[in-house]
Amino acid sequence: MATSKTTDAVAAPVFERSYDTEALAANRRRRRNKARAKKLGLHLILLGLLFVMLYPVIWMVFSSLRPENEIFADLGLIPDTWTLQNYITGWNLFGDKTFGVFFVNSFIICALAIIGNLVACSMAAYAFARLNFRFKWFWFALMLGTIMLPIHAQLIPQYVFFLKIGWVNTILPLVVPKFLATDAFFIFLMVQFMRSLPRELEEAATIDGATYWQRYWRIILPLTMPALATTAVFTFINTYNDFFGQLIYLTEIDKMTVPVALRLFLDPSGGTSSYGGMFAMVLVSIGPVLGFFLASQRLLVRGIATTGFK
Amino acid sequence: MMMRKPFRCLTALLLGTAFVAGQAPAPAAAQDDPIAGEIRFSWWGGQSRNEKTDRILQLFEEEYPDVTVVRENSDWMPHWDKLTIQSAGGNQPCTIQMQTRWLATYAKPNILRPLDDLYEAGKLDTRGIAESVIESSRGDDGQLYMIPSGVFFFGMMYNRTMAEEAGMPVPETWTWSEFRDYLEALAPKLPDGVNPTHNMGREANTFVAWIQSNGYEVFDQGEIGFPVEVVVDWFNYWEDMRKAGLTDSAEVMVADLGSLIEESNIANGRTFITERPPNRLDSHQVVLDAVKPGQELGIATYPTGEDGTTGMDLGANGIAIGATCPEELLPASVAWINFFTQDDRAAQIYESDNGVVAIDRFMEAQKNAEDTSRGQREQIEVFQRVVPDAKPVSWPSGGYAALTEAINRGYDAVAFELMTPEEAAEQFMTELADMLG
Repeated sequence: MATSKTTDAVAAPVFERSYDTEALAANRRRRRNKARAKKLGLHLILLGLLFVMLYPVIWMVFSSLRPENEIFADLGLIPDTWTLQNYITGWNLFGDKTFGVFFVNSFIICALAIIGNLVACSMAAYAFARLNFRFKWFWFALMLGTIMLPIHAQLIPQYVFFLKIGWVNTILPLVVPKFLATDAFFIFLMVQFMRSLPRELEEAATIDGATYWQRYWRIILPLTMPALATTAVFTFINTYNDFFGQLIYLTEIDKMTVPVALRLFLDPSGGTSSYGGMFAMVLVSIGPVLGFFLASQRLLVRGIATTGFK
Repeated sequence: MMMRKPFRCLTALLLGTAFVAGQAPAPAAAQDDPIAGEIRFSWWGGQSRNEKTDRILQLFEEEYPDVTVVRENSDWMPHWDKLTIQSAGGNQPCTIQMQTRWLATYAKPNILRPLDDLYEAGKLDTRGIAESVIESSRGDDGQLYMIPSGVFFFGMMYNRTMAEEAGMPVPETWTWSEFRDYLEALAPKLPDGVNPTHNMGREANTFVAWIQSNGYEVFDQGEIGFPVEVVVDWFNYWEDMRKAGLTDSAEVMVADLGSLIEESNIANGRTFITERPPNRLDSHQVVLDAVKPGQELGIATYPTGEDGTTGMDLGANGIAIGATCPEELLPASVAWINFFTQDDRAAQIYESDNGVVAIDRFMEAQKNAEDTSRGQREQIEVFQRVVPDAKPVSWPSGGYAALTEAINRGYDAVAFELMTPEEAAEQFMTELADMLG
């Protein structure tokens, strides 16, 4: 009995403690609910902000699906009449050529620019990151200096140069320089990345008798994959969106690219504009950039996070 | 049409380079060179104009089977960007679409070829083009640099239905004070939410009409041709109307841009009258038809001075020949210009798409043709009425952009009550003089 009393005596505080626990649990639940409500509220606010930010894009999506003459007449979001006519008109606006021609032209330039940048910039970066040669730092500084050179200062000399060698109205001025490691930003990005790779890996390869080329190709390049992906994505986006270079170097309609062709829908000088067709084709044009970005998002983030470009 | 300041600096820089990179002007065309070869033609415009131009080019190539024309088309602003860079590199096309307002920037013998020899020898066919229009196609050096194909003028666009419902038809001519009195009388009769007028205090085209109707020139040998008092009166004229509630507010004024037809107040039935190039009547009417079915827009001329002096400016679009066009391609280039401007079929296809066709017989034919749109017909009618009194402005290089920028900034400061009209006018004169260099 005494034991049980003792037990009871001991149990009493236990009982009390278990009561406390319940209260605590209830408190915790309340707190959790409160936190949840707070989170929910926060998400609702964020969703609201997202909607405000995306509203122009959403408006464009719906506008591309309403008849041309209703686009500016009714500024509401949901069209009264749904139609795909803008897509058909936009795609076939250019006589015997479809908008597909401009996509093909853009993709050819983008693909070559990506290959050029990946090959040339990674080789240049390897040289700056790992090799020792005379005036290395001077050349490195000079290379970085080209980032600061305004595009307008290069425009005319470049144009005259390409004109003299007969490259105007071909894709060569937009593509060939990429094979000569002219994008200093990407070289810098890769130099930073390569410097962070352990030297021991290369030293081991050197002991095994690997040449510079083998070290670059077999050791460094596979490890630089995130930086290469970043370069590929940025090159694609930059090249795909480049308007001015493509405008001045490609003059005939057969050779035009997506950004240049999109301008042909509008005529601010008083002629006829086709906003519906333009909205439709803008949406179609966003597709490849979005797709490319989503597909390489993981590598892109890793590439940026590991190269100090935060 | 406004050229931004950095771009203007760039243009000046690049064209400066053109003096170095450009080649000497080509000598006059050999008289008996065959009409053959591959020439380039660059023009601006949207897809509808591109198609029309392409159809005319196809006809031309059928007529001259030995000539091929490389098509280089772009939008308005990129057309000038591209031409600037091509000129700097000495790679201008043989035939280039040109406009009198931009001519001064490019009218230099190393960029465009002076056409006087071809014009005087009768090789360039200018039958039916008014002498005043040809004269407006000369550069600062007095040489002819382009052959006009379409003429444009500036005026106002108004809602005819609202005027008729108020029982106040717009008169054919009016003075600046009659214009204000008209709006004052009309204002109470307009539907709710409709501004009697867009505040044109910041609009360069309207300001040009004011200057010239006051008996002054806008530019005199590249310098400002009017005194500061003209600007002060201009600002006060619009301030009085703004304060009397006859114009839109300063906030609405700056947002109502002529380039955005679909969003403009006039096309949406929210303003009774505003300044607009008359060739855009049809494209505005299409929008109004969708928003306010049954309402009709019309063209009104700018008010005149109190003594009846007209101040309206006149401009022309045309074709120029690049200075670097090889001699053997000149006959083909000349043939193309003649075909584009003088061929009946070409005029019929183009339908005054870029200004009223400059040749009088085509103008008359288009006015009377059954399939001519109402806007087109009205534009030609008003044009024929006003052209004898119009005064083409002699724009110096960068002059139009400079005037637009200075008047925008000057009147905005007044309308937002940051400056008095006198202060803003002084600032306007200084800025304009600085920008003209």
